[in-house]
Formats: sequence, structure tokens, C-alpha cells
Amino acid sequence: MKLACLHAGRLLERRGSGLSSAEGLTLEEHLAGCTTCRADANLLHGLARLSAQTRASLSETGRQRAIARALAAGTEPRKRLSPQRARRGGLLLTAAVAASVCAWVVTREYRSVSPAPVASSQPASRSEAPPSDHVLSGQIEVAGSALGTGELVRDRVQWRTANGASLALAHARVELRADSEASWDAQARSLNLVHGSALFDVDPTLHQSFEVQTSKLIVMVLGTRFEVTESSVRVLRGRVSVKPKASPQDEAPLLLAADSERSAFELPPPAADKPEPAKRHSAGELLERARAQLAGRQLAQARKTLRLAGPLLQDDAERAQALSLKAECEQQAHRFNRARDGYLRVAHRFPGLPAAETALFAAARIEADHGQAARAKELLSDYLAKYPHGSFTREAALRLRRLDTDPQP
Amino acid sequence: MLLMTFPTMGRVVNLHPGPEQDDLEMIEACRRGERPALERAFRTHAPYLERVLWRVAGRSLDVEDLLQSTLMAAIEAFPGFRGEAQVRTWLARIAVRTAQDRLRSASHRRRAPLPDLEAVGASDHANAEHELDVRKKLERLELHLTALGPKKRTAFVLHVFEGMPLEEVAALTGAGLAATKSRVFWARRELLKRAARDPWLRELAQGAKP
Repeated sequence: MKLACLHAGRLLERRGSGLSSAEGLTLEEHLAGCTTCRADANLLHGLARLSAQTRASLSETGRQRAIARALAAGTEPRKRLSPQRARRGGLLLTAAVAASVCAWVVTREYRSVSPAPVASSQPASRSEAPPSDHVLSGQIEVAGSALGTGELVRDRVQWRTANGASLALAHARVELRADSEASWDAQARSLNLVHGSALFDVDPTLHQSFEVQTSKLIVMVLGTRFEVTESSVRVLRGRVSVKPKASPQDEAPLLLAADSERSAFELPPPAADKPEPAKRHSAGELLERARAQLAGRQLAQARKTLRLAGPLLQDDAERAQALSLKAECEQQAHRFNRARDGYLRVAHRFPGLPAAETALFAAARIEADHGQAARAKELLSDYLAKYPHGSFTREAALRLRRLDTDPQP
Repeated sequence: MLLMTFPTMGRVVNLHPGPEQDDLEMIEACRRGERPALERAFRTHAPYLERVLWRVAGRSLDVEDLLQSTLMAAIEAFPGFRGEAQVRTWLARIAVRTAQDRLRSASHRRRAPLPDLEAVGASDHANAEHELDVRKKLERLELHLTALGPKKRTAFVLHVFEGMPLEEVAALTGAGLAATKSRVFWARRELLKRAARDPWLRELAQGAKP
């Protein structure tokens, strides 16, 4: 397969989401000369047209029904399940019953040969998980009221402890030191340590995230025991990843292994603090950017870029390019008269440049596509006279012939 | 006219992440599982989700059932929605995943695609013979699209037929841009090869206006 065919294939795929004028012209030119790609293009177009004939939305009743059922099943659990879920649920129930029977048999066998299990000092595990986040020992104060052992820790509310407290939060046990302040986000499993320090023991067997944030650090836990103050981390068991709070989101965190300690000041400084050198763009770069923005159908940005490029344009080639891109903006905004005038302006003002040739053909194409057969024929003849060996000569001749035989396509 | 425009079902180009266009109060209420907020969000985005589901799942699956499953999954997942993407994009991701799971399931593979009698607008076709012809072609197209596999099919259909930008398709399917591009490329080649060999679809190339 030729490189040009590969490129044309890509353009064919993107045609549904929109091509720029230049890309459209490139594709047209290639299709005019390549029978294989032309056949593929026709078939793909036929398939797309066929596919567009499928019904693409439910009736209003069907939509209402789906929403009502989802809300009924989702907000009032197990009231009604979809057929698929019901089937899946049935299978799961069968599997669960089978597993329970196996577990019962195995446990009975195990009990008959092994001594009674010894109570573990490990943090809350899957089977021992508390029903919700609560105080294990000590006291915490929330908005003036004190919470003691067994009381629930409220989500996203700041609390403090004067003499220290022990808490069960998600799959972790947290020992808050005296005079510490923190808040807990249960959904994100994130503890924000506002002041003081705390020792964390996180159950690694659940493979769930746990995060500690201070004013200077973000510590992501990988199942471990570690201690955090506002600006330092000390790992006692397992590993944690840590990065300064001010660092950019995509910056890789630092991994800390057991028996290591790191303060915020020892971490690499965030890249955001480094001053960026002021950039000066040339007109060429800006025009290139505008072209890319147009290809991505970012019209407003492309116009802005072209405005920025305006004062920097140095020669006729750049001016012609800028005017062509402006005309393309108008074309993408469906202001075809303005687009045509823009292209014609390029063709008349810069007759010796390649941009003029493309612009003249683009103007002719706009006229032809919008039923202005006489004007299109005039422009196409003009093009053929001026550029008998131009890039679009074959296509222009073809179009002209077609307009002669069928003036109203 | 040589340069053809693709018949797209509607273009979705708004990819800007972030909830700036969503009602933040509504999102918060949805997270809390409040029914009126969920209902409002679902009513707003249901037509878009339906279109995505139709495109990804084709005519062989019950879109109403898929929409219901998507919305149920969304209700369950809403408490974890962090607002990093727009609600619409987030919901569409769930829809794509739901449809792909269903396409992969054994029950779907066992079920032969049934012709959808409402798929073709009667007003578009003067006679029943033509309608039957179109229906047969749609069935063949569905068969070939199913043969591509869920990942390639989804990427191809959303990008080429639906006119979604590659970036949006990548975001919806949770794949990288390069992987999405590659899926579209191979899907196009495979589909065109199959269609060119299919006597029902082969004639579409002649029918397309050059």
C-alpha cells in the first residue's frame, strides 16, 4: 500500500468528524487518481449512509420507562432488576451458596485438627472490618462536642484531639498524637492532617487506596505502617509513595520503603516553581498552530491565533497563508460567501504564489457545491487557463465537464 | 460531487473536561443519591446515551434494556464521581462499557440479530421492496460489524459513522489515542474487505454518488 493511500485512508476515516479545506482537497486529489481508494471511499460512504438509516433514539415512552426502572432499582435497591442483572444475580447466588457449603465443610474439618485461633493485633482486616469509621479509644472534639469510644466519625468535618485518640478509618487504624487536627473524606479514603502527627497502620490485603494529605505532602499508601507529621513521613513497614503538595499532578511520586524517613524539604522542588522562559512565536509557528486548530475544528482558537499572527507576518507568502486560513475559518463557520470572497482575495492579490492556486480552486468548489453553476464554471475555466499543469487541473476539468453535462447536480 | 459529506447522526465535539458546564449542585445531589437530581441528569443526557448505545450495540440488542442498565450502574457509581469529566462524558463511558460487556456475553453471541422493523423510516422509501432491500443490507452490515469484535467495532462506529473526534472516542472507551487510531484503521480495512465480498453490500459502492 502506498503512503499516499494510507494517508487518504486516514482522511476517509476522519471525514465524518470534519476535514479542513486543505485536507479535503488532498483527499479529492488522491481519489481522482487512485481507483482502489476511490472504490473504498465509495463503499465506505455507502455503508455510512446505510448505517445512518438505523433508528437512533428510543421513543419517549421507552426512554421514560428505562429511566423510571433504573431509578426504582437504583434508589430503592432490589425492587426491580433488569433481566440481565437478574440472571447474573441468580448465578451469583448459586455460586455463593455452593461456596458457603464448601467453607462450612472445610472449617469443620479444620476445627477438628487445629487449636483455637489466637486474637491478632493486626489492624482491621476484611472479616473484622468495622461497620463504619469510628473512635476506637480516646476522644476527639467536633464543633465543641466530644466523641468517645465507639462513636462514629463524621465525614468531611474537621476534628481535633487534645490527648490523642485511636480511630478506625476505612481499612486503616490511625493513632492521632496529642494536639492534632484532621478531617476525613470517606469516599476518597483520604485523611487531611491539618496539624500534629499521626501513626497509620493500613491493611494491605484489601488492595484499596488510602491517602494522607498535609499542608506540604500527599502520601499515597500501598499497605503499610507509617507516621506522618505536617512535613515529614517515616515508614515503619511496607512502602508509601509521597510527593510535595505543590507539585504538578503528572509528576511521579517518590517511593519510600520501610525504615526510611523523608521531609518535605528533601523532596525535589515542584516544577511549577521554576520560572518558564518567555516564549516568542514566529508568524510561521502561529500559522501552523492555526492550521492545526482548524483541523481540530477549534474555530475560536484558530481566529485568535490568526489575530496574534497578524502583526508578525513578514512576507507575501505568510500573508497569503493567513488570508487563506481566515477564509477557511469562514468556511467552517458555514459563512460560504465570506469564505469564497476570502479565497478570491488571495487568488487576486498573490497570483504568483501556490496559495493563490489552491484558493482559486477552493472558491470554485464552494460555488459548485452551493449550486452557483455559472459562477463555478467561470472560476474553473479561469483556474484551468491560469494553471494548465496545476495541482487540481484534473479535478477542475472533471468538475467542469460535470457542470457542463449536469449544471444542477 | 467528488467530495462527499458523511451522513452523521449528530456531531459531538465538546470534549472540554471538567464540570464547568454541569450544574454543580445537581452533581452533589446526584452523589447523595437524591432521586429528583438523578432524574433530571438522566433526562438531560438520555438522548445522547441512546445514540451512543445504538451505535455501539447495533440493532441486535435491546437499547431500552441497555439504557436502564447504564443508568443503574451510574446510580451505583455516582458517589465516586469526582467531577473530573463532564457528567455526559462520564455517563457515556458507562454506556460504552455496558454495551461492550453485553456484546461480549455468550448470550448475545448465541442470539442471531433480528431485523428491526422500525429501523427504516417508511416515508423514506416508496415501496416495500426497497424497504426490504435496505433492511437486508442493514442486517448484513450488522453481521460484519459484529465480526469486528467489540473494541474495534466501537472505535470505528463512533469515529467513522458517528463523526466523533478520535480523542472523544478514546476517552469514552478508556483506550489510548494510538490504540483507538489503530482500532479504527484495522476495523475499516476488515469491514471494507468483508463488504466488498458481500453481494448485498458490494453494490453500495456503485450506489454512492461519486
